[in-house]
Order: sequence, then structure tokens, then C-alpha cells
Amino acid sequence: MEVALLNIPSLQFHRVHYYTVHLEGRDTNEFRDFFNRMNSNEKGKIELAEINRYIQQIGEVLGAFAKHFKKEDAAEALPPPYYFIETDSPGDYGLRLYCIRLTPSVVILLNGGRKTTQKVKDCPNCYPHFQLARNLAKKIDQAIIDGDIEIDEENKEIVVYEDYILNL
Amino acid sequence: MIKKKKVLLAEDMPEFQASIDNMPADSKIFVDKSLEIAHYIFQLMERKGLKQKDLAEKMGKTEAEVSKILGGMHNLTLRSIAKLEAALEDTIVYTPLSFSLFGKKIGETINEVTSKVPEKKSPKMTYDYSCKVVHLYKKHDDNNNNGNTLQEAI
Repeated sequence: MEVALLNIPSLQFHRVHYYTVHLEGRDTNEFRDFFNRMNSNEKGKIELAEINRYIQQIGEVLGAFAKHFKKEDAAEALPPPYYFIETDSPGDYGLRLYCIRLTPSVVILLNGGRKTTQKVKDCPNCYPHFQLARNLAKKIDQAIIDGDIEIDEENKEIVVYEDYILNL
Repeated sequence: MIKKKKVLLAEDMPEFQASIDNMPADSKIFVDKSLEIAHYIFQLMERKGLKQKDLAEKMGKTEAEVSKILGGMHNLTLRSIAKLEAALEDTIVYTPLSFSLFGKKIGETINEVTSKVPEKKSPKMTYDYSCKVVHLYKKHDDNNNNGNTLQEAI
């Protein structure tokens, strides 16, 4: 499955430029898919807005440092680890947006869902997205080592060379 | 051989900003304050060379308890903020009464304060004066007399 990296112009902030991906055969990009699904109910809308505000403030003010992201195997997730989820439901661990933090100034936002179990492998909403994030992070890491992808830190840009196709 | 770069496609998301603009005020405040507080706690820990284990010891808690506080499993209460401040020997959250002006605390005197008058009103005039940082609010005494507040300044 081919993976196309996408710029998100309005998510290019002072400290961080955010990107997303479009998977071959899917209707929309991964971050928009997450956005639309979480935005479809009142509770999700508020939690989504909070995640978006973290994205914005990390992007504009603080920088994408590791302390602001949950570590998820080879990838990361938002909201930050210090975010307290206020809930009465025992099986509600809040929303998870999986992402790949390439550098403190370049982050790829992916997909996610509402986590309903303590371990992600048991959560049907999150596990597929966690696996995608983990596998894609490993592919990109290898592409960087092989010189097919570079990170231009100064311009906060992901550079993909023409003869390289990112595949999962 | 010079490799050619691919031009990445762009897909904008105006709905992203709209979701932030429409969020409840308390949600925005919560996110901003949690970011600031966490960022400052981590900065202080780095500056003082403290690991979570060291912080736990200073707070009289187990490492697991501190991990829960910093890891979002416990709501950060005023009590836990007080314990953090005591352990880190620094203020994390300022309240209106403790807010310091120009880095000075209530009661301290600022000796060199320079103010520039906007050029439209008067060309580049500067004034040097001293002022004392005072309480913005002062309790009424039993006879219902107001104390001097801002008149003490300048």
C-alpha cells in the first residue's frame, strides 16, 4: 500500500510543522479521518478540540519535545502524558491520536480513536491505528538511514527524493 | 548524481482552527495551563538535575505516586502543586497576590524604571523614577478605613 506524505498548510506553526499521510485507496487523509470521526459527538468534539489546542500550542510556543507526547513503541501519541481525563466510565481512557515525532520541529499526525482498554492491543478502536503508526515510523526511520528521506530542520521540511516510494 | 526532491501535496484543514475557536473557554484554559505547568515542572527538574525518583523522595512520595501525578492519572490538586513547589523550591503557579512586577516581590523597591513616552505625544522623553511594589488589594481594618494602596507607589 502506497503512502503519500502531505503538507497541512494551516498546521505549519512557528516551532513545528505538522504533516499527515494519505493511504492508497482511502477516501481521505488519516488526520482528517480522525478529526471527522471524533467530531461526530459532543464528548468527542470537546476532547478533540483539546487535542487540537495541544497541537497548536506545542506547534506555536513550546516545540515538539518528547515530554509532551506519550511514547507508543516506535511512534508517539497525543494528548500529552500529563493530560488528566475526567470520566465516570471505567472503560474510558480518552482519545488517542497516534503520530510520529521525527524531530522537535517536524511531526506527522496520523489517526486514532477512543481507547477503551488499558493495553492498546486489546482496544479495537486504537490498535489498528497504533500498528499503522508503529510500522510507518519504522519505515520512515529506515528511509532516513538509507538517504531516501531527509529532514530539513531549518525549514521544518520532510524531503522525499523522487525515486522513493513509501510503502507499507 | 544530484537527487531530485518530490513536491509534497498539500491538503489544508480549516476545520482545525474552527474546532479551537469553538471550544469551551474552560477547556482552552485547562489545556494552556496544563501545558505551561508541565513544561515548567520539567524545566525545573532538568535545571536542578532531578529525576522522578529524586523528586519523589523530596515530596515524601513513592516514585509510582509521582509518576501518576506527572502522568495524568491523578488530577493535579492544589495540595500536590504545593508539594511540588516545596520540593522544587520554586513557584510554579502564581496567584494575583503573589504576582511580582518586574521580577520583584510585594514590598520590594524598584530603583530604576524607565518609561518612554510615545513619540506622538513628546519626542523621545524618558523618565527615571523609583516605585514600590504594593498590594493591589488591601483589607479594610475594623474601622472600615481603606489603607493606602497605589498612593504608596511613586
